[in-house]
Amino acid sequence: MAANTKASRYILLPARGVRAVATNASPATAQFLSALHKQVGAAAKAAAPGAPAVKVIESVHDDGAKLVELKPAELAKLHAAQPGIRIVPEVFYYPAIAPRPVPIATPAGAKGAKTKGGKTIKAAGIAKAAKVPGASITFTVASKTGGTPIKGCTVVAFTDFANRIGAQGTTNAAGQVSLNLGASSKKIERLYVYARMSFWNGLKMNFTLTTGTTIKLVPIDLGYQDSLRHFYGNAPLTSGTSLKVGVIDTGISPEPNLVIQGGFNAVTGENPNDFGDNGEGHGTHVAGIIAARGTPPNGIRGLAPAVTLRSYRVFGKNKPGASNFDILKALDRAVSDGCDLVNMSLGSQGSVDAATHDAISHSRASGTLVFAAAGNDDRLPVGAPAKDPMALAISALSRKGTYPSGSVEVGDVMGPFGTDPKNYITSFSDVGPEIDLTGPGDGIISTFPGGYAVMDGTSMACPAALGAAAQLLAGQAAILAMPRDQARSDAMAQFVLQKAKGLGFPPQLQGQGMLS
Amino acid sequence: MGTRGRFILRYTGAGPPLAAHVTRLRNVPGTKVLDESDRMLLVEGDQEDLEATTRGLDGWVLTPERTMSIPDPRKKIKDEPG
Repeated sequence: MAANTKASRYILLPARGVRAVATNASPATAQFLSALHKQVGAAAKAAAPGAPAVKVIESVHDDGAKLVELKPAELAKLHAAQPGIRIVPEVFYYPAIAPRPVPIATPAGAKGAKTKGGKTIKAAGIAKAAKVPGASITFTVASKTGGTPIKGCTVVAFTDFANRIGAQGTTNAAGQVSLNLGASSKKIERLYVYARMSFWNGLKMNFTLTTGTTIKLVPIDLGYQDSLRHFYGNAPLTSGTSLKVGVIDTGISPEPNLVIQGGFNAVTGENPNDFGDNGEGHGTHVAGIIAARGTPPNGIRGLAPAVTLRSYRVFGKNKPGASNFDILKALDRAVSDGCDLVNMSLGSQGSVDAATHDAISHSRASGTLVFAAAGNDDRLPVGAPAKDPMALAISALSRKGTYPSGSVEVGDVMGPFGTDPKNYITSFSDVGPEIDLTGPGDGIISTFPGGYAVMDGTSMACPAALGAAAQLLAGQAAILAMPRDQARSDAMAQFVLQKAKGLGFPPQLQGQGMLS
Repeated sequence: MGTRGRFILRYTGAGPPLAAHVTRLRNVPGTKVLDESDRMLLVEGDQEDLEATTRGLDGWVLTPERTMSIPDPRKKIKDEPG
């Protein structure tokens, strides 16, 4: 984290446009930019209470863009103190010279192939192993309680985890799967077993897999204290009263623990009124983290069960991705429906396109706050749309002891550890200076079409942070009564971010910390 | 002749877009409107033609359509064992 100690250059702007005027910025934002204008050329200092010291290099106008220097570690602090300010890194453009292709590795057996200890190093993704007849290993996945075979589990066996070399398959009705691993018995570095629902997903490390092996998964106990319940407990049924929340996702299935009070299917060409889950279950799980109304051990409870929950479906049926057009259409609709908070547990690596930035800015200018998942690319930079300066970007927090031993969550542990050494930001979470908050997102039990499931991801951390924000905002009648404009969303963001408590991680990992 | 593809035309100005602007965008030669909402059109057409038209209309931006996915933390294989 040494890079964090060196100041970098950023451009500070109002939410939209380049000058703070009544239609795009709150008076507080205009006042802050004006205060910075007076600091041009002076030594670094704080221009507002709670804001970090910044050095102003240049100011376009009294209420216009500012080129400033500050430390990346202080970006989250600036965002918390001035949530209506858009922070954009200074970027330099260069001639677009096409990169020259270079070989990544030499295929196994090829002339000039690299060797180590007399063995050929095989290039991942280039050379394919010849299928050896009779070299499959057939084994069974069953429940740890009662031994019932589990159908439909995705099984991924790695013989070399670092290079992601292995084989995968799906269990049949007898809970059996056959993997062609090139031998009838094979040393496995990691074996992941992902059940669709009802069970914790399993991880077994460093063992020899042979035909006849049985891998056992732990059934979900709705009274189990996962990381969400460890940090937040079970909220009262009145938590989140008067907040309207939109979930932009795969749709939400009406489950016994969930009450959906309207929605919209934004998928081009599909029925606009079909905003139920598309079958993937992701949106239903996300919604349960926010608003499930069950009582353990007979059901599960979200963080803000009293919110008005609305479903905005952007993933089509049997389509892997969501169009940014459909996502923006859903966001516009959630804003016009009066949603106070919107959850976006989706994204991709890369920059935020102009239309997406405008839609998020439009939501902020209309009094709506957007929470977005940072992404699960194993600590790569925060993805889009979370990296948009007007969205709140959420990383995934976890804690040792909040999942069964032998579950996949064991493989997500990565330092640095927090002030409480059991806490850590998961290995899969994307991180960076855009992170605003962290939330529990590993081994989370929630609603799923037809039952319950355990899921991991910043997808789960995002609704955890939103649900905690809804709890806090429900008591802020003065903020919620403000006209639906930029000042309202700024006030919500500022209130929420200032309620976060650091857990001892660097700001790129936790932002301002976890809401409590 | 530029690249054909699917693009989002989004109005970023205050209030609703001018109907005349929407009509002009709808009628860019070779452009097919696939979907629309209050502030956007999803179109299939020629990028250069759409860019040229958008440049002359205040508050409109042109963005290629892209897909986003559910962030999936599940581990995946890249290759089979040799």
